[in-house]
Amino acid sequence: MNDIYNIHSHIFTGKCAPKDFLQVGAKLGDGASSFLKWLILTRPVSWIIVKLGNLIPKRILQFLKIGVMASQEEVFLDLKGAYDNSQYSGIKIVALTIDMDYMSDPDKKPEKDFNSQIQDVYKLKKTYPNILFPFYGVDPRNPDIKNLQNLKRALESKTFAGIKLYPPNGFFPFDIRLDSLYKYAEENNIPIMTHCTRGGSYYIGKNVWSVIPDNPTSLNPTHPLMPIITARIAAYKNASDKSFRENARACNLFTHPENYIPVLDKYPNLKLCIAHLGGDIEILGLKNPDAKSAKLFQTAKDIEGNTKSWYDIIKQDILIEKYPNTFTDISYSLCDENCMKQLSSDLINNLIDQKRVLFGTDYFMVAKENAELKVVAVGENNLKVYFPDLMSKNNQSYLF
Amino acid sequence: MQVSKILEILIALGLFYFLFSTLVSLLFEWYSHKTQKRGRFLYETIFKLLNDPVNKSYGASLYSHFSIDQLKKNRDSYPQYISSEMFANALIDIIGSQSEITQFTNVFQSNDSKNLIKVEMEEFRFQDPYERFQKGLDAMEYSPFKSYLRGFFEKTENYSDLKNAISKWFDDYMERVSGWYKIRTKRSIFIISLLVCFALNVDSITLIKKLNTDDKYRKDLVLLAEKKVLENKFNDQKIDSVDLAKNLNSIKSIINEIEDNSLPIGYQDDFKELNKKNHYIMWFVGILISAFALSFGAPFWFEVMVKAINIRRAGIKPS
Repeated sequence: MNDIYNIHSHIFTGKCAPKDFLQVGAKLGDGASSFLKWLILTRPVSWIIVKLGNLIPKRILQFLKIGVMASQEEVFLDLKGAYDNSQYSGIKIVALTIDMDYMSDPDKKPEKDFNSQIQDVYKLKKTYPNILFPFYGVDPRNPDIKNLQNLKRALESKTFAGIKLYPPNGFFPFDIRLDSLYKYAEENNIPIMTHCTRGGSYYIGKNVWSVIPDNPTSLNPTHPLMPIITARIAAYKNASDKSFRENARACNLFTHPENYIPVLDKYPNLKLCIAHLGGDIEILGLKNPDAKSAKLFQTAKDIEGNTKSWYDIIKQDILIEKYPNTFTDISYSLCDENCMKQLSSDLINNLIDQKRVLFGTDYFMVAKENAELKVVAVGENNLKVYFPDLMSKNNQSYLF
Repeated sequence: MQVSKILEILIALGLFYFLFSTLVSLLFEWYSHKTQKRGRFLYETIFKLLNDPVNKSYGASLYSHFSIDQLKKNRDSYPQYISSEMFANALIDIIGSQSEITQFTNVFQSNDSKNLIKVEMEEFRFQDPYERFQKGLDAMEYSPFKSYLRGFFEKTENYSDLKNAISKWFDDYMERVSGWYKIRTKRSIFIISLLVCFALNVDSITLIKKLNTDDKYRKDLVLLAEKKVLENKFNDQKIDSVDLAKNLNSIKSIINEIEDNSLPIGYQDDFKELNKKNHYIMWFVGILISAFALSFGAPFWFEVMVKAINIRRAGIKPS
């Protein structure tokens, strides 16, 4: 196999994340999670995690083992090493940086800030120019985004191959501060990767509603979807199920795929990949064998006023002719066999444009589910004849 | 009480505290090595020194720099010491590297514009490190840190001067860091002292009582202290924070010294009697006094012992 890509991976370390990052997933207070993160990063505990991670293939241990690695190079080499002795040796890796400086309260800023994370990636790209293709993380709250100077330098030197957005960290994709970024990306055919699933990390500051205005500013304020988005915010704020008012679920407001339609209507040629196919909860909907996920799908659908699932929004409203450069990827969702079966059926029945589906794994997030090559095998076994194009041609056309 | 007797008690106490302080120091050094206390503290202080919220965390960049990264014993250790010269070289390189531009060119297959064959790399950098530093500063946004670094550049005329100025700045800062480290370690030393006193039942009140009542025992300890001071044996006591076996041997030799002179330590029969009498409070106070005394450190008690011996000798008429 030649010229293949993993379009969705992460190589940042625990030091690039805020001090209370472990609040994500574990329902701990910020003090407890800061302490837990400190504890995990201490030498004896990280040593134990690494040793246990080598001995026991427990998924969460594997995830923590990568999280406590000392450098981004070490994480990158771990991913590269996973492929080196397989049929996918020589795979090119798209590493998505994330600006995590604003995903928590200011006093919880990461030990290694975003600029230092980027600086390390600059060095890594020089060391591995033929196999590493990093994406530059963008958060509109970072003042650097005003003049795009650093971003342009990174992209125009071809050190970085694209842009990564992570809205659940606390911003809407239609944020007016991102207008010049989309304009620049569309004019220069620069790919943008964005997160779209109900899972993953999210804004973990004390007051999530401080980053969700009742009526957010938009780069396309007169778009017919804007009143619907505003109504959705109000519905979350007043939801009878209190969990929807808390960070983990309230941040789904940022992630909703409809948020991209006002952007795409303004910049229809934007090269945009809405990742994860919308996530397993939205792909499987009420057919989800996990009753909790099926219930969450229904409750969220009612509160959000959705007429269809996020997966259907991506397929039917985003991957369409009107927006010729839109894509989605199978990262993370590929570890769920049911999701891959659903995608395979949709590909066979032409319910999704097969040229618009990309291959990625979401390393090292996916380490929580299974080993890298095992999740690749789940995708390959289910998508069969479509799989080689996802890895090669589709990823190429998105990337270049 | 006679002055000479008070001096003898002081010398015996000095010897007693000196031996146990050495034990505490050994344990503390071993603990610091295992938990990387010193390396971690150095990392935190350098991180603070080079913190620039406007541009980036230069502390993190310094520790990722090749020259500093190579000082690590293993992947997750911190260097225990960074020389000022190495610091200056690394910092000048990091600031200068901000002026570098590396251009990559994707080379595609001629008949397939999307099939990537290779990526070519071309570096544009200033070869003179002094000029490179200046251009790197120009690439930074204004911040107090940039302003401070610019001061170094403006006050110097060449790379060598710049390096010396930054080295001196680092040395001055490290002097202050040593002071901060001593303050921070005091608490740890006190906790270790307390643990040692509890583990070995080092009770100062019981000891002082024994020294006061048992003349032979007190005089034996004074003789031992004088002998050791004359031999200057204590100054040779080296602490190896890496080799645990060596440390254990040192600890063993100290315990042997103590046992040879049957110091009133350990949980023996008389301790059971103490329990019966419910003198817990006095015992606890004795332990606290010992822990407090041991946290002063071995050099302090050595000095006390030497001074008390000299005063005692000065008071004796020549034969």
